[in-house]
Amino acid sequence: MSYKTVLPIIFFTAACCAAFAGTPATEASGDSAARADLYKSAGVVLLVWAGIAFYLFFIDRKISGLEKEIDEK
Amino acid sequence: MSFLLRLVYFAMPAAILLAFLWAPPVAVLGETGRIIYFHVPSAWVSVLAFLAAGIFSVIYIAKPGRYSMLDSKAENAVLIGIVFTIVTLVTGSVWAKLSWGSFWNWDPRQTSIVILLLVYVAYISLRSSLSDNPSIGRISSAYLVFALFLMPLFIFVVPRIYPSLHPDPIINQGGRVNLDSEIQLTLLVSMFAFTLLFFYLWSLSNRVSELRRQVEENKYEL
Repeated sequence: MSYKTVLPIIFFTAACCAAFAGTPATEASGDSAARADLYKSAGVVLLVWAGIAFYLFFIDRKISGLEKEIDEK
Repeated sequence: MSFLLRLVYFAMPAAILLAFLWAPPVAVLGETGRIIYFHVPSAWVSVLAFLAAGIFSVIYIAKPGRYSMLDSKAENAVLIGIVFTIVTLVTGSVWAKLSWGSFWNWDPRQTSIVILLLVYVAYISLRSSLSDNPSIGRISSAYLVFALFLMPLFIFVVPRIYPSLHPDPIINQGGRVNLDSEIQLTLLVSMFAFTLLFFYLWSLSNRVSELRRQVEENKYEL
């Protein structure tokens, strides 16, 4: 998977964040503190996922490279 | 196929955003109920992984020598299943702390999932002890077939026999899923994302196993 594939994923995630930015998440929509906590939690979980995703992406590339090397031999 | 699996890079952020920013709080459980979008799919993936490992082991035993790679594929599925079982256990314990006041309550659900975890950790231990044994594939596959019959007992039967604090009765009142449509949709997206993640991880580990096999057979020098 190339950077041409990864970049749209990053843009997709950013676009989703922007799209959900105005959505009320709690029943009491005036409760801005609870909503801020939800945004913070979502940010932390997204950050964790980004780390896992990049790790998987580089493992995938590495395995593809090794498979290609074996195929060429 | 691998292109489909890479959809996980899109599905997982979508599931996270839906879980935190779109879905309303779960009735009775409140904001802490959002953990179901990670806890339930992790539990589902654990079952899927152990089921796949069991089925592959049955085929391995039924057709000896024909599908030699099925043994290592089953091992990879078990390893991933163990990781997701630990995620299930941790997310469940965090929710238990928030709702019941302590991380560990000896609830039938908690206890049965730990026993199941130990059953599959014992499989890893068994494989390690048989590393020099030429029958490692057959013995460990037989163990996984035994575990395949044990798994539904611990996941579906035991927690329903004994009284439990697990919020099944709130979610599944009268055998029907008692959740808002937004919550159901978010849960479905999350389960789809986690299922993709499982198959993606499994595919990566199977490819590594295949590479290792080729190197061990001295066909190639990397």
